[in-house]
Amino acid sequence: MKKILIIEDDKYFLNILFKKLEKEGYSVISASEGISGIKKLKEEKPDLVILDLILPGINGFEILKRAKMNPKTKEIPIIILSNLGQEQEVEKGLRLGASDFLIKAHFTPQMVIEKIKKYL
Amino acid sequence: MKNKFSSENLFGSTFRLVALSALVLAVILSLNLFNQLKKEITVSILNVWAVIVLSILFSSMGVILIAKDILLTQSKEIRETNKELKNLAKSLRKKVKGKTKELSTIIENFTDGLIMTDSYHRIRLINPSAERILNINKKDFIGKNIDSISKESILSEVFYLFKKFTSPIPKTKYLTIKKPKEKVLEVTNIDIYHPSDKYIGNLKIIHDVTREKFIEKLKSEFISIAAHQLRTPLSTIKWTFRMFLDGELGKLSPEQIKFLKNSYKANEQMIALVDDLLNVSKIEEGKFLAKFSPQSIEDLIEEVIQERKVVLDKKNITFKFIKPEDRLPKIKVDAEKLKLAISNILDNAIKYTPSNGKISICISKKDGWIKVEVGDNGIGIPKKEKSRIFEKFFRGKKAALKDPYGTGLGLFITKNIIEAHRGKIYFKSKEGEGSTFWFELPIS
Repeated sequence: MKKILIIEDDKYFLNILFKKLEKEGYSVISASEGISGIKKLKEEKPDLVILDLILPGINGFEILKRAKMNPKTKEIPIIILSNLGQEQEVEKGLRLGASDFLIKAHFTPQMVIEKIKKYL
Repeated sequence: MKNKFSSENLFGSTFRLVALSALVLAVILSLNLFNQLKKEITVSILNVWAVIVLSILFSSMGVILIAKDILLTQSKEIRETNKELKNLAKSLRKKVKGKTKELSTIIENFTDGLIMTDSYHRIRLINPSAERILNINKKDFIGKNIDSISKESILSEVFYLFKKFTSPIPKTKYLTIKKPKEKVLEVTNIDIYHPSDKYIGNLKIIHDVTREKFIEKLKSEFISIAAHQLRTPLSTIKWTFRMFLDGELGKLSPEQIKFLKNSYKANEQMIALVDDLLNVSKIEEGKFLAKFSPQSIEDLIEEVIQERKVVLDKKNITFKFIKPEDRLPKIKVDAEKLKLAISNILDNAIKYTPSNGKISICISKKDGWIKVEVGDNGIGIPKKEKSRIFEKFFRGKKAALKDPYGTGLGLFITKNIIEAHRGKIYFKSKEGEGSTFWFELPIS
Protein backbone atom coordinates (compact mmCIF):
# COMPACT_ATOMS: atom_id res chain seq x y z
CA MET A 1 0.00 0.00 0.00
CA LYS A 2 1.44 3.37 -1.03
CA LYS A 3 1.84 5.91 1.73
CA ILE A 4 0.84 9.53 1.22
CA LEU A 5 1.64 12.41 3.55
CA ILE A 6 -0.70 15.39 3.52
CA ILE A 7 0.66 18.63 4.96
CA GLU A 8 -2.40 20.84 5.31
CA ASP A 9 -3.56 23.21 8.04
CA ASP A 10 -7.24 23.53 7.01
CA LYS A 11 -8.75 20.74 9.11
CA TYR A 12 -11.95 20.55 7.12
CA PHE A 13 -10.18 20.30 3.79
CA LEU A 14 -7.72 17.81 5.24
CA ASN A 15 -10.65 15.70 6.38
CA ILE A 16 -12.15 15.50 2.87
CA LEU A 17 -8.83 14.79 1.19
CA PHE A 18 -7.96 12.21 3.83
CA LYS A 19 -11.23 10.42 3.22
CA LYS A 20 -10.85 10.48 -0.55
CA LEU A 21 -7.31 9.09 -0.46
CA GLU A 22 -8.26 6.33 1.96
CA LYS A 23 -11.17 5.37 -0.26
CA GLU A 24 -8.73 5.15 -3.16
CA GLY A 25 -6.73 2.64 -1.15
CA TYR A 26 -3.78 4.69 0.07
CA SER A 27 -2.28 4.68 3.51
CA VAL A 28 -2.62 8.30 4.63
CA ILE A 29 -0.74 10.30 7.26
CA SER A 30 -1.01 14.01 7.89
CA ALA A 31 0.59 17.04 9.51
CA SER A 32 -1.09 20.38 10.11
CA GLU A 33 1.98 22.59 10.29
CA GLY A 34 5.51 22.78 8.92
CA ILE A 35 7.70 21.40 11.69
CA SER A 36 5.77 18.20 12.20
CA GLY A 37 5.43 17.96 8.45
CA ILE A 38 9.21 17.93 7.97
CA LYS A 39 9.58 15.47 10.83
CA LYS A 40 7.05 13.05 9.33
CA LEU A 41 8.61 13.44 5.91
CA LYS A 42 11.94 12.24 7.31
CA GLU A 43 10.64 9.56 9.66
CA GLU A 44 7.75 8.05 7.77
CA LYS A 45 9.30 8.03 4.30
CA PRO A 46 6.02 8.51 2.40
CA ASP A 47 5.81 7.63 -1.30
CA LEU A 48 4.32 11.00 -2.11
CA VAL A 49 3.54 14.30 -0.39
CA ILE A 50 0.56 16.58 -0.87
CA LEU A 51 1.72 19.99 0.31
CA ASP A 52 -0.21 23.14 1.12
CA LEU A 53 1.71 26.44 0.95
CA ILE A 54 0.21 28.76 3.55
CA LEU A 55 0.93 27.05 6.83
CA PRO A 56 1.55 28.27 10.36
CA GLY A 57 5.26 28.54 11.18
CA ILE A 58 7.32 27.15 8.32
CA ASN A 59 5.54 27.66 5.04
CA GLY A 60 5.18 25.18 2.21
CA PHE A 61 7.96 26.64 0.06
CA GLU A 62 10.40 26.24 2.94
CA ILE A 63 9.31 22.63 3.52
CA LEU A 64 9.75 21.93 -0.17
CA LYS A 65 13.20 23.51 -0.19
CA ARG A 66 14.33 21.45 2.81
CA ALA A 67 12.84 18.22 1.45
CA LYS A 68 14.66 18.66 -1.85
CA MET A 69 17.95 19.54 -0.14
CA ASN A 70 17.96 16.40 1.99
CA PRO A 71 19.37 13.46 -0.01
CA LYS A 72 17.11 11.09 1.93
CA THR A 73 13.89 12.85 0.96
CA LYS A 74 14.70 14.57 -2.31
CA GLU A 75 13.40 11.74 -4.48
CA ILE A 76 9.92 11.79 -2.91
CA PRO A 77 7.50 13.45 -5.35
CA ILE A 78 5.81 16.50 -3.83
CA ILE A 79 2.57 17.83 -5.27
CA ILE A 80 1.59 21.33 -4.20
CA LEU A 81 -2.14 21.61 -3.56
CA SER A 82 -2.85 25.19 -2.60
CA ASN A 83 -5.12 28.10 -3.20
CA LEU A 84 -2.24 30.32 -4.15
CA GLY A 85 -1.56 30.21 -7.82
CA GLN A 86 -0.18 33.46 -9.19
CA GLU A 87 2.41 32.90 -11.88
CA GLN A 88 5.40 33.72 -9.70
CA GLU A 89 4.16 31.31 -7.02
CA VAL A 90 3.68 28.46 -9.49
CA GLU A 91 7.07 29.19 -10.98
CA LYS A 92 8.72 29.26 -7.55
CA GLY A 93 7.11 25.96 -6.55
CA LEU A 94 8.24 24.18 -9.71
CA ARG A 95 11.70 25.72 -9.50
CA LEU A 96 12.08 24.41 -5.96
CA GLY A 97 11.38 20.92 -7.24
CA ALA A 98 7.64 20.34 -6.86
CA SER A 99 6.30 17.71 -9.28
CA ASP A 100 3.12 19.65 -9.89
CA PHE A 101 1.24 22.73 -8.74
CA LEU A 102 -2.52 22.23 -8.32
CA ILE A 103 -4.94 24.98 -7.34
CA LYS A 104 -7.53 23.53 -4.95
CA ALA A 105 -10.41 25.52 -6.35
CA HIS A 106 -9.60 24.40 -9.90
CA PHE A 107 -9.33 20.69 -9.16
CA THR A 108 -11.81 18.06 -8.04
CA PRO A 109 -10.83 15.22 -5.71
CA GLN A 110 -10.87 12.80 -8.67
CA MET A 111 -8.54 15.02 -10.71
CA VAL A 112 -6.09 15.10 -7.81
CA ILE A 113 -6.17 11.29 -7.59
CA GLU A 114 -5.28 11.10 -11.27
CA LYS A 115 -2.29 13.40 -10.70
CA ILE A 116 -1.18 11.28 -7.75
CA LYS A 117 -1.32 8.14 -9.87
CA LYS A 118 0.86 9.86 -12.45
CA TYR A 119 3.68 10.41 -9.96
CA LEU A 120 3.51 7.13 -8.09
CA MET B 1 18.87 94.81 -36.01
CA LYS B 2 21.97 92.74 -36.38
CA ASN B 3 22.81 93.98 -39.89
CA LYS B 4 22.38 97.63 -39.13
CA PHE B 5 25.05 97.55 -36.50
CA SER B 6 27.61 95.32 -38.11
CA SER B 7 31.07 96.87 -38.40
CA GLU B 8 31.21 95.99 -42.05
CA ASN B 9 28.19 98.15 -42.78
CA LEU B 10 29.37 101.08 -40.74
CA PHE B 11 32.73 101.03 -42.46
CA GLY B 12 31.10 100.63 -45.85
CA SER B 13 28.83 103.65 -45.51
CA THR B 14 31.66 105.90 -44.19
CA PHE B 15 33.87 104.86 -47.04
CA ARG B 16 31.15 105.57 -49.54
CA LEU B 17 30.62 109.06 -48.08
CA VAL B 18 34.35 109.93 -48.21
CA ALA B 19 34.62 108.74 -51.79
CA LEU B 20 31.55 110.71 -52.77
CA SER B 21 32.85 113.93 -51.23
CA ALA B 22 36.22 113.51 -52.95
CA LEU B 23 34.46 113.13 -56.29
CA VAL B 24 32.30 116.21 -55.67
CA LEU B 25 35.39 118.21 -54.74
CA ALA B 26 37.21 117.20 -57.87
CA VAL B 27 34.26 118.07 -60.11
CA ILE B 28 33.77 121.45 -58.49
CA LEU B 29 37.46 122.17 -58.77
CA SER B 30 37.78 121.21 -62.41
CA LEU B 31 34.54 122.93 -63.43
CA ASN B 32 35.57 126.10 -61.73
CA LEU B 33 39.02 126.02 -63.24
CA PHE B 34 37.74 125.30 -66.73
CA ASN B 35 35.06 128.02 -66.65
CA GLN B 36 37.44 130.59 -65.32
CA LEU B 37 40.05 129.75 -67.92
CA LYS B 38 37.57 129.89 -70.81
CA LYS B 39 35.99 133.22 -69.85
CA GLU B 40 39.01 135.04 -68.52
CA ILE B 41 41.59 133.95 -71.07
CA THR B 42 42.64 137.52 -71.72
CA VAL B 43 42.70 138.53 -68.12
CA SER B 44 46.01 138.80 -66.46
CA ILE B 45 47.71 135.89 -64.80
CA LEU B 46 47.20 137.56 -61.46
CA ASN B 47 43.48 137.63 -62.04
CA VAL B 48 43.58 134.02 -63.09
CA TRP B 49 45.41 133.13 -59.91
CA ALA B 50 42.98 135.18 -57.88
CA VAL B 51 40.12 133.32 -59.49
CA ILE B 52 41.86 130.01 -58.90
CA VAL B 53 42.53 130.86 -55.28
CA LEU B 54 38.98 132.05 -54.82
CA SER B 55 37.48 129.04 -56.51
CA ILE B 56 39.67 126.77 -54.42
CA LEU B 57 38.53 128.67 -51.37
CA PHE B 58 34.89 128.38 -52.31
CA SER B 59 35.10 124.79 -53.26
CA SER B 60 36.99 123.88 -50.11
CA MET B 61 34.38 125.73 -48.09
CA GLY B 62 31.73 123.71 -49.92
CA VAL B 63 33.63 120.55 -49.19
CA ILE B 64 34.00 121.52 -45.54
CA LEU B 65 30.28 122.21 -45.32
CA ILE B 66 29.42 118.88 -46.94
CA ALA B 67 31.93 117.04 -44.77
CA LYS B 68 30.63 118.77 -41.69
CA ASP B 69 27.11 117.79 -42.60
CA ILE B 70 28.16 114.22 -43.30
CA LEU B 71 30.17 114.01 -40.11
CA LEU B 72 27.27 115.37 -38.08
CA THR B 73 24.83 112.85 -39.46
CA GLN B 74 27.45 110.15 -39.03
CA SER B 75 28.16 110.85 -35.39
CA LYS B 76 24.48 111.14 -34.66
CA GLU B 77 23.92 107.72 -36.21
CA ILE B 78 26.84 106.27 -34.33
CA ARG B 79 25.61 107.75 -31.09
CA GLU B 80 22.17 106.28 -31.69
CA THR B 81 23.65 102.95 -32.65
CA ASN B 82 25.77 102.98 -29.57
CA LYS B 83 22.76 103.72 -27.40
CA GLU B 84 20.73 100.96 -28.99
CA LEU B 85 23.59 98.53 -28.54
CA LYS B 86 23.85 99.46 -24.91
CA ASN B 87 20.13 98.96 -24.40
CA LEU B 88 20.26 95.65 -26.17
CA ALA B 89 23.14 94.45 -24.04
CA LYS B 90 21.32 95.60 -20.95
CA SER B 91 18.13 93.80 -21.84
CA LEU B 92 20.07 90.70 -22.85
CA ARG B 93 21.94 90.73 -19.55
CA LYS B 94 18.63 91.07 -17.80
CA LYS B 95 17.09 88.25 -19.81
CA VAL B 96 20.06 85.93 -19.29
CA LYS B 97 20.03 86.73 -15.59
CA GLY B 98 16.30 86.03 -15.48
CA LYS B 99 16.67 82.77 -17.40
CA THR B 100 19.58 81.62 -15.26
CA LYS B 101 17.60 82.42 -12.15
CA GLU B 102 14.60 80.59 -13.59
CA LEU B 103 16.72 77.56 -14.49
CA SER B 104 18.52 77.44 -11.17
CA THR B 105 15.21 77.74 -9.32
CA ILE B 106 13.88 74.78 -11.31
CA ILE B 107 17.03 72.74 -10.67
CA GLU B 108 17.22 73.64 -6.98
CA ASN B 109 13.57 72.81 -6.35
CA PHE B 110 13.24 69.83 -8.67
CA THR B 111 11.86 66.90 -6.68
CA ASP B 112 14.06 64.48 -8.62
CA GLY B 113 17.77 64.43 -8.02
CA LEU B 114 19.91 65.91 -10.79
CA ILE B 115 23.62 65.33 -11.22
CA MET B 116 25.56 66.78 -14.11
CA THR B 117 29.08 66.15 -15.33
CA ASP B 118 31.03 68.01 -18.00
CA SER B 119 32.88 66.58 -20.99
CA TYR B 120 35.86 65.70 -18.74
CA HIS B 121 33.55 63.70 -16.43
CA ARG B 122 33.93 66.27 -13.69
CA ILE B 123 30.89 66.75 -11.50
CA ARG B 124 29.45 70.17 -12.14
CA LEU B 125 26.08 70.07 -10.47
CA ILE B 126 24.30 68.22 -7.69
CA ASN B 127 20.91 69.59 -6.76
CA PRO B 128 19.46 69.50 -3.21
CA SER B 129 17.13 66.59 -4.10
CA ALA B 130 20.10 64.49 -5.21
CA GLU B 131 21.83 65.33 -1.93
CA ARG B 132 18.74 64.30 0.00
CA ILE B 133 17.98 61.10 -1.94
CA LEU B 134 21.57 59.86 -1.96
CA ASN B 135 22.34 61.26 1.49
CA ILE B 136 25.49 63.04 0.28
CA ASN B 137 26.96 66.51 0.58
CA LYS B 138 27.61 68.16 -2.74
CA LYS B 139 30.70 69.94 -1.40
CA ASP B 140 32.46 66.56 -1.25
CA PHE B 141 31.98 65.96 -4.94
CA ILE B 142 31.66 69.14 -7.01
CA GLY B 143 34.60 69.53 -9.37
CA LYS B 144 35.82 65.96 -8.87
CA ASN B 145 36.24 63.52 -11.71
CA ILE B 146 33.81 60.60 -11.41
CA ASP B 147 36.71 58.14 -11.71
CA SER B 148 38.40 59.64 -8.68
CA ILE B 149 35.40 59.06 -6.43
CA SER B 150 35.61 56.13 -4.03
CA LYS B 151 34.03 53.02 -5.51
CA GLU B 152 32.08 52.51 -2.29
CA SER B 153 30.27 55.82 -2.53
CA ILE B 154 26.66 55.88 -3.64
CA LEU B 155 27.49 58.40 -6.31
CA SER B 156 29.90 55.96 -7.85
CA GLU B 157 27.17 53.29 -7.86
CA VAL B 158 24.88 55.71 -9.66
CA PHE B 159 27.52 56.39 -12.30
CA TYR B 160 28.59 52.79 -12.83
CA LEU B 161 25.01 51.75 -13.55
CA PHE B 162 25.67 52.97 -17.08
CA LYS B 163 28.61 52.82 -19.44
CA LYS B 164 30.29 56.08 -20.27
CA PHE B 165 29.20 57.57 -23.57
CA THR B 166 26.10 55.52 -24.14
CA SER B 167 23.91 57.36 -26.56
CA PRO B 168 21.88 60.54 -26.66
CA ILE B 169 18.77 58.42 -26.04
CA PRO B 170 17.86 58.45 -22.34
CA LYS B 171 18.04 55.08 -20.60
CA THR B 172 16.52 54.13 -17.27
CA LYS B 173 17.72 51.55 -14.77
CA TYR B 174 16.83 50.67 -11.21
CA LEU B 175 19.24 50.86 -8.33
CA THR B 176 18.55 49.50 -4.86
CA ILE B 177 20.57 51.10 -2.09
CA LYS B 178 20.73 49.70 1.40
CA LYS B 179 22.27 52.50 3.43
CA PRO B 180 21.21 54.48 5.37
CA LYS B 181 17.71 53.33 4.48
CA GLU B 182 16.64 50.86 1.83
CA LYS B 183 15.62 52.77 -1.24
CA VAL B 184 14.73 51.89 -4.80
CA LEU B 185 15.91 54.51 -7.27
CA GLU B 186 15.01 54.91 -10.88
CA VAL B 187 18.04 56.45 -12.56
CA THR B 188 17.76 57.99 -16.00
CA ASN B 189 20.95 58.52 -17.94
CA ILE B 190 21.17 61.22 -20.59
CA ASP B 191 24.36 61.99 -22.50
CA ILE B 192 24.27 65.51 -23.84
CA TYR B 193 25.68 66.24 -27.25
CA HIS B 194 26.19 69.55 -29.04
CA PRO B 195 24.37 69.81 -32.38
CA SER B 196 27.80 69.29 -33.93
CA ASP B 197 27.90 65.84 -32.18
CA LYS B 198 30.50 66.97 -29.67
CA TYR B 199 30.02 65.39 -26.23
CA ILE B 200 29.20 68.11 -23.74
CA GLY B 201 28.39 66.18 -20.60
CA ASN B 202 26.08 63.83 -18.85
CA LEU B 203 22.94 64.23 -16.79
CA LYS B 204 21.58 61.73 -14.30
CA ILE B 205 18.01 62.09 -13.10
CA ILE B 206 17.33 60.20 -9.89
CA HIS B 207 13.73 59.40 -9.07
CA ASP B 208 12.96 57.84 -5.71
CA VAL B 209 10.44 55.03 -6.38
CA THR B 210 10.73 53.36 -2.98
CA ARG B 211 7.15 54.11 -2.10
CA GLU B 212 5.73 53.02 -5.45
CA LYS B 213 7.65 49.75 -5.25
CA PHE B 214 6.47 49.22 -1.69
CA ILE B 215 2.84 49.79 -2.65
CA GLU B 216 3.23 47.55 -5.69
CA LYS B 217 4.54 44.80 -3.43
CA LEU B 218 1.72 45.36 -0.93
CA LYS B 219 -0.87 45.20 -3.68
CA SER B 220 0.58 42.05 -5.14
CA GLU B 221 0.68 40.47 -1.67
CA PHE B 222 -2.86 41.61 -1.02
CA ILE B 223 -4.13 40.05 -4.23
CA SER B 224 -2.29 36.87 -3.43
CA ILE B 225 -3.72 36.67 0.09
CA ALA B 226 -7.20 37.74 -0.99
CA ALA B 227 -7.22 35.07 -3.67
CA HIS B 228 -6.11 32.52 -1.15
CA GLN B 229 -8.63 33.54 1.48
CA LEU B 230 -11.50 33.71 -0.99
CA ARG B 231 -10.64 30.43 -2.61
CA THR B 232 -10.19 28.49 0.61
CA PRO B 233 -13.88 28.22 1.62
CA LEU B 234 -14.93 27.89 -2.03
CA SER B 235 -12.64 24.96 -2.61
CA THR B 236 -13.79 23.25 0.57
CA ILE B 237 -17.41 23.60 -0.59
CA LYS B 238 -16.44 22.37 -4.03
CA TRP B 239 -14.64 19.31 -2.72
CA THR B 240 -17.43 18.42 -0.28
CA PHE B 241 -20.18 18.78 -2.89
CA ARG B 242 -18.11 16.83 -5.37
CA MET B 243 -17.65 14.00 -2.89
CA PHE B 244 -21.40 13.95 -2.27
CA LEU B 245 -22.17 14.05 -5.98
CA ASP B 246 -19.70 11.24 -6.65
CA GLY B 247 -21.50 9.16 -4.01
CA GLU B 248 -18.43 8.92 -1.81
CA LEU B 249 -20.17 10.23 1.29
CA GLY B 250 -23.22 8.02 1.12
CA LYS B 251 -26.11 7.58 -1.22
CA LEU B 252 -28.31 10.56 -2.08
CA SER B 253 -31.84 10.81 -3.48
CA PRO B 254 -32.21 12.13 -7.04
CA GLU B 255 -33.73 15.33 -5.65
CA GLN B 256 -30.84 15.87 -3.27
CA ILE B 257 -28.45 15.37 -6.17
CA LYS B 258 -30.33 17.96 -8.21
CA PHE B 259 -30.03 20.57 -5.46
CA LEU B 260 -26.41 19.78 -4.86
CA LYS B 261 -25.63 20.03 -8.56
CA ASN B 262 -27.06 23.53 -8.73
CA SER B 263 -25.16 24.58 -5.62
CA TYR B 264 -22.01 23.09 -7.09
CA LYS B 265 -22.55 25.14 -10.25
CA ALA B 266 -23.10 28.33 -8.27
CA ASN B 267 -19.93 27.65 -6.34
CA GLU B 268 -18.03 27.14 -9.59
CA GLN B 269 -19.25 30.58 -10.70
CA MET B 270 -17.89 32.09 -7.51
CA ILE B 271 -14.53 30.44 -8.17
CA ALA B 272 -14.60 31.86 -11.70
CA LEU B 273 -15.41 35.31 -10.30
CA VAL B 274 -12.40 35.18 -7.97
CA ASP B 275 -10.23 34.17 -10.95
CA ASP B 276 -11.61 37.03 -13.02
CA LEU B 277 -11.06 39.53 -10.23
CA LEU B 278 -7.50 38.31 -9.86
CA ASN B 279 -6.95 38.71 -13.57
CA VAL B 280 -8.44 42.20 -13.60
CA SER B 281 -6.26 43.37 -10.76
CA LYS B 282 -3.24 41.99 -12.57
CA ILE B 283 -4.28 43.75 -15.77
CA GLU B 284 -4.53 46.97 -13.80
CA GLU B 285 -1.13 46.35 -12.30
CA GLY B 286 0.20 46.00 -15.84
CA LYS B 287 1.64 42.58 -15.04
CA PHE B 288 -0.81 40.29 -16.74
CA LEU B 289 1.10 38.65 -19.53
CA ALA B 290 4.04 36.64 -18.37
CA LYS B 291 5.34 33.88 -20.56
CA PHE B 292 5.66 34.42 -24.28
CA SER B 293 6.62 31.45 -26.43
CA PRO B 294 6.00 30.35 -30.04
CA GLN B 295 2.64 28.63 -30.20
CA SER B 296 0.39 27.12 -32.79
CA ILE B 297 -2.95 28.93 -32.71
CA GLU B 298 -4.68 25.87 -34.18
CA ASP B 299 -3.47 23.72 -31.27
CA LEU B 300 -4.50 26.27 -28.66
CA ILE B 301 -8.00 26.52 -30.14
CA GLU B 302 -8.20 22.75 -30.42
CA GLU B 303 -7.43 22.45 -26.70
CA VAL B 304 -10.12 25.00 -25.83
CA ILE B 305 -12.68 23.19 -27.98
CA GLN B 306 -11.76 19.83 -26.45
CA GLU B 307 -12.54 21.13 -22.97
CA ARG B 308 -16.00 22.19 -24.17
CA LYS B 309 -16.97 19.09 -26.14
CA VAL B 310 -19.34 17.85 -23.43
CA VAL B 311 -21.29 21.13 -23.18
CA LEU B 312 -21.47 21.48 -26.95
CA ASP B 313 -22.88 17.96 -27.27
CA LYS B 314 -25.26 18.47 -24.37
CA LYS B 315 -26.75 21.56 -26.02
CA ASN B 316 -26.76 19.73 -29.33
CA ILE B 317 -24.94 22.59 -31.01
CA THR B 318 -23.76 22.22 -34.59
CA PHE B 319 -20.13 23.11 -34.23
CA LYS B 320 -17.60 23.75 -36.98
CA PHE B 321 -13.88 24.51 -36.77
CA ILE B 322 -12.62 25.84 -40.09
CA LYS B 323 -8.87 26.19 -40.59
CA PRO B 324 -6.65 26.64 -43.63
CA GLU B 325 -5.16 23.55 -45.25
CA ASP B 326 -1.58 24.64 -44.63
CA ARG B 327 -0.58 24.96 -41.03
CA LEU B 328 -0.35 28.54 -39.83
CA PRO B 329 3.03 29.84 -38.66
CA LYS B 330 3.65 29.70 -34.91
CA ILE B 331 3.40 33.05 -33.19
CA LYS B 332 4.81 34.30 -29.90
CA VAL B 333 2.03 34.44 -27.36
CA ASP B 334 1.30 33.85 -23.69
CA ALA B 335 -0.42 30.50 -24.25
CA GLU B 336 -2.42 30.39 -21.01
CA LYS B 337 -3.74 33.93 -21.44
CA LEU B 338 -4.57 33.53 -25.11
CA LYS B 339 -6.44 30.32 -24.30
CA LEU B 340 -8.35 32.28 -21.69
CA ALA B 341 -9.27 34.92 -24.30
CA ILE B 342 -10.47 32.28 -26.77
CA SER B 343 -12.33 30.43 -23.98
CA ASN B 344 -14.13 33.61 -22.94
CA ILE B 345 -15.37 34.25 -26.47
CA LEU B 346 -16.36 30.64 -27.07
CA ASP B 347 -18.03 30.34 -23.65
CA ASN B 348 -20.11 33.42 -24.43
CA ALA B 349 -21.15 31.88 -27.74
CA ILE B 350 -22.15 28.67 -25.95
CA LYS B 351 -23.95 30.52 -23.15
CA TYR B 352 -25.95 32.82 -25.38
CA THR B 353 -26.81 30.35 -28.15
CA PRO B 354 -29.92 28.25 -27.54
CA SER B 355 -29.88 24.46 -27.79
CA ASN B 356 -29.67 23.13 -31.37
CA GLY B 357 -27.95 26.36 -32.42
CA LYS B 358 -24.84 26.84 -34.54
CA ILE B 359 -21.35 27.93 -33.53
CA SER B 360 -18.28 28.11 -35.72
CA ILE B 361 -14.65 29.01 -35.27
CA CYS B 362 -12.72 30.05 -38.34
CA ILE B 363 -9.04 30.89 -38.51
CA SER B 364 -7.25 32.44 -41.44
CA LYS B 365 -4.10 34.31 -42.37
CA LYS B 366 -3.88 37.60 -44.21
CA ASP B 367 -1.05 40.11 -44.71
CA GLY B 368 0.99 39.16 -41.66
CA TRP B 369 -2.03 38.76 -39.39
CA ILE B 370 -3.80 35.70 -38.05
CA LYS B 371 -7.54 36.11 -37.71
CA VAL B 372 -9.67 34.07 -35.32
CA GLU B 373 -13.40 34.36 -35.76
CA VAL B 374 -16.11 32.93 -33.50
CA GLY B 375 -19.66 33.13 -34.84
CA ASP B 376 -22.98 32.03 -33.36
CA ASN B 377 -26.69 32.32 -34.04
CA GLY B 378 -27.55 33.16 -30.46
CA ILE B 379 -29.44 35.99 -28.79
CA GLY B 380 -27.21 38.72 -30.21
CA ILE B 381 -26.37 42.12 -28.73
CA PRO B 382 -28.95 44.95 -28.72
CA LYS B 383 -27.83 48.09 -30.56
CA LYS B 384 -27.67 50.31 -27.51
CA GLU B 385 -25.52 47.87 -25.57
CA LYS B 386 -22.90 47.53 -28.29
CA SER B 387 -20.69 50.42 -27.16
CA ARG B 388 -20.40 49.04 -23.63
CA ILE B 389 -19.71 45.41 -24.41
CA PHE B 390 -15.99 45.52 -23.46
CA GLU B 391 -16.54 47.54 -20.30
CA LYS B 392 -15.54 46.11 -16.95
CA PHE B 393 -18.52 44.60 -15.11
CA PHE B 394 -20.97 45.46 -17.90
CA ARG B 395 -23.70 42.92 -18.52
CA GLY B 396 -26.32 43.05 -21.21
CA LYS B 397 -29.92 42.92 -19.99
CA LYS B 398 -30.86 39.76 -21.86
CA ALA B 399 -27.47 38.21 -21.22
CA ALA B 400 -27.95 38.73 -17.47
CA LEU B 401 -31.35 37.02 -17.66
CA LYS B 402 -29.92 34.12 -19.59
CA ASP B 403 -26.93 33.68 -17.31
CA PRO B 404 -27.31 35.34 -13.90
CA TYR B 405 -23.88 34.16 -12.73
CA GLY B 406 -21.78 35.98 -15.34
CA THR B 407 -19.31 38.48 -13.94
CA GLY B 408 -19.19 41.02 -16.76
CA LEU B 409 -15.43 40.66 -16.79
CA GLY B 410 -14.89 38.12 -19.56
CA LEU B 411 -14.77 40.42 -22.57
CA PHE B 412 -12.90 43.10 -20.64
CA ILE B 413 -10.19 40.56 -19.85
CA THR B 414 -10.28 39.19 -23.40
CA LYS B 415 -9.81 42.62 -24.96
CA ASN B 416 -6.88 43.31 -22.66
CA ILE B 417 -5.25 40.00 -23.52
CA ILE B 418 -5.63 40.57 -27.27
CA GLU B 419 -4.32 44.12 -27.05
CA ALA B 420 -1.37 43.05 -24.91
CA HIS B 421 -0.47 40.79 -27.87
CA ARG B 422 -0.56 43.89 -30.12
CA GLY B 423 -3.79 42.54 -31.60
CA LYS B 424 -7.24 43.95 -32.19
CA ILE B 425 -10.67 42.64 -31.36
CA TYR B 426 -13.94 43.35 -33.17
CA PHE B 427 -17.51 42.14 -33.23
CA LYS B 428 -20.68 42.43 -35.23
CA SER B 429 -24.04 41.42 -33.93
CA LYS B 430 -27.74 41.65 -34.54
CA GLU B 431 -30.24 41.15 -31.79
CA GLY B 432 -32.03 37.83 -32.19
CA GLU B 433 -29.77 36.68 -35.02
CA GLY B 434 -26.39 36.12 -33.46
CA SER B 435 -22.96 37.55 -32.88
CA THR B 436 -19.54 37.22 -34.45
CA PHE B 437 -16.44 38.14 -32.49
CA TRP B 438 -13.06 38.12 -34.14
CA PHE B 439 -9.54 39.13 -33.27
CA GLU B 440 -6.37 39.57 -35.25
CA LEU B 441 -2.86 38.93 -34.02
CA PRO B 442 0.33 40.05 -35.79
CA ILE B 443 2.48 37.12 -36.97
CA SER B 444 5.77 38.81 -36.08
